[in-house]
Amino acid sequence: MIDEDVLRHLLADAAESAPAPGRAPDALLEAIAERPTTAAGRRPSRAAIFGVAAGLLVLLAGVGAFLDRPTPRLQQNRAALYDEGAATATTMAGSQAGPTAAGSVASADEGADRRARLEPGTEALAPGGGGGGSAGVAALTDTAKVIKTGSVDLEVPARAFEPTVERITSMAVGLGGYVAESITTESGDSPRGTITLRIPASSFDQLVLEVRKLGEVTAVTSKGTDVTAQFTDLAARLSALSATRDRLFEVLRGARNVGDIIAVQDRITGVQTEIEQIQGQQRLLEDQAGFGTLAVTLGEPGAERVQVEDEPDDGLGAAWDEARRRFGDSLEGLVAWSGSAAIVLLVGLVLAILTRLAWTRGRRFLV
Amino acid sequence: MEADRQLDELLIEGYGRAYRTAYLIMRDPAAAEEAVQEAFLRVWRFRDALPDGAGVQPWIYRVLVNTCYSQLRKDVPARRRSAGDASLAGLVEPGPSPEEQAARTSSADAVIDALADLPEQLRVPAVLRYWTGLSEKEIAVAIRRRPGTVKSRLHEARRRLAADPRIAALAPSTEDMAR
Repeated sequence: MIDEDVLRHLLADAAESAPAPGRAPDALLEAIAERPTTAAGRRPSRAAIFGVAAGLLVLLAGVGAFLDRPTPRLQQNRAALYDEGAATATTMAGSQAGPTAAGSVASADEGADRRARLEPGTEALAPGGGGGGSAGVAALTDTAKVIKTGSVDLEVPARAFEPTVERITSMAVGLGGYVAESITTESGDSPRGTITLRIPASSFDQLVLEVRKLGEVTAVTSKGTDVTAQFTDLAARLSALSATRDRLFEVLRGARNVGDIIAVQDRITGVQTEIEQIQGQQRLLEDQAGFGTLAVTLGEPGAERVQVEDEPDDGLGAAWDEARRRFGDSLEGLVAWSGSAAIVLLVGLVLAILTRLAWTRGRRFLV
Repeated sequence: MEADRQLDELLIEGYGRAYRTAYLIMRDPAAAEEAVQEAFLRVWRFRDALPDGAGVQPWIYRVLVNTCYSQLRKDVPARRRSAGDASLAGLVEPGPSPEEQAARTSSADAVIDALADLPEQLRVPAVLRYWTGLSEKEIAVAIRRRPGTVKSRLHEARRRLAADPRIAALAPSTEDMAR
């Protein structure tokens, strides 16, 4: 065993052979050393830094709100626009989604009314009429962010499933959209499937109309959610946070000690994270508002019935299927029977052993 | 604050020893420097959690050892400095003469190589005990093990180092030097 003192000498030599850090090692430690220790030169506390940052945030938010203040006419228009809530939905179900569905008609009327309000020059949005009102409304509709979603259930003629799917796909692509998801199931000869399409919002209604012509409509759902307010809010927050981050960078440049550097860096990291989250939400909203989502469910008549109907007993294929089914049934029966047989065998075995023992002992007793 | 000033001094005074501790553990000056800086930053950041009195040093070395472990888990070659860092050589403190350095380097290399061959769980306590000078209790705090575990690891480290021919060759001359 090596002596401890010897080991200390060896390790000391080895450690001192390392290049000494000297001046080079650490600007950080220099910053620690340079930190003023007198009360006059004391660094500002974290609370002070956060206070300044919070004050800037409030100031920027106030300035932003002032600059973003809408004109009286636009205020009127917005009041009219948001009066009935942020979202409208129309739902039509039943044969051709026709006028027999009273509630649906009401919803559709509301939707139509809302669309009328959004269109320039209509009475609802521009009661005063005139070119100025139309221009204001046009500006409002340009900046409005509405997320459109909907679904159409169609029944297409027999053997028309594939061509219809292809046609819907080409229609979507032709309008600048794409197929986001496609699920197809086949039961017997009748396929069924759902295609989820992403379509530019401006072409959404047109696509719904076109799709409805491709078969018998069994259900239609359409929904528009206005997210303009959310979007504006996100933009304001992003602007304020960016300004805060810039100011914090300036504070960081002026920081003279480790405590300040770390505190400001922490704050910058937090602000940057918030900025990235908001940018992510903005991108999501942009995408959702820019592209509507339409789910088209297609089916041929009798798709469900095929699943429960007995297959016709004709042909070699049917015979083969029947043979496989009977083989499976027989196998199941054998397994089930073997369980019972095993129990019977086990009981019999125990009885035989007991009998044998009794017989042997009885014979000894007799002898 | 007084406590901050004391911690500043402690970190500045302890930098050299901590750096060499990390160097013996990691065998890479650049990585050791990086580890110490990161560890000291962490210590500073969490200075409110510093224990009082004698517990400070083991606490700092616990942070340092954890940082070294993290660095060792990374790809070591990626951390090596590029050739551009040669300009830093002028900033290094003046050391022993070239002859002394040559003799020392060969024996030092042998020790560092022998240490590097030890597994981490033996190398770290050995360095903390025989270079840094922590007690077994302090090492137990630094590596989060029981003092009994530290004792057995130190024993095993000494046994393995004694069996290492590179250390065996150096031991007598070191004893002479000690006399």
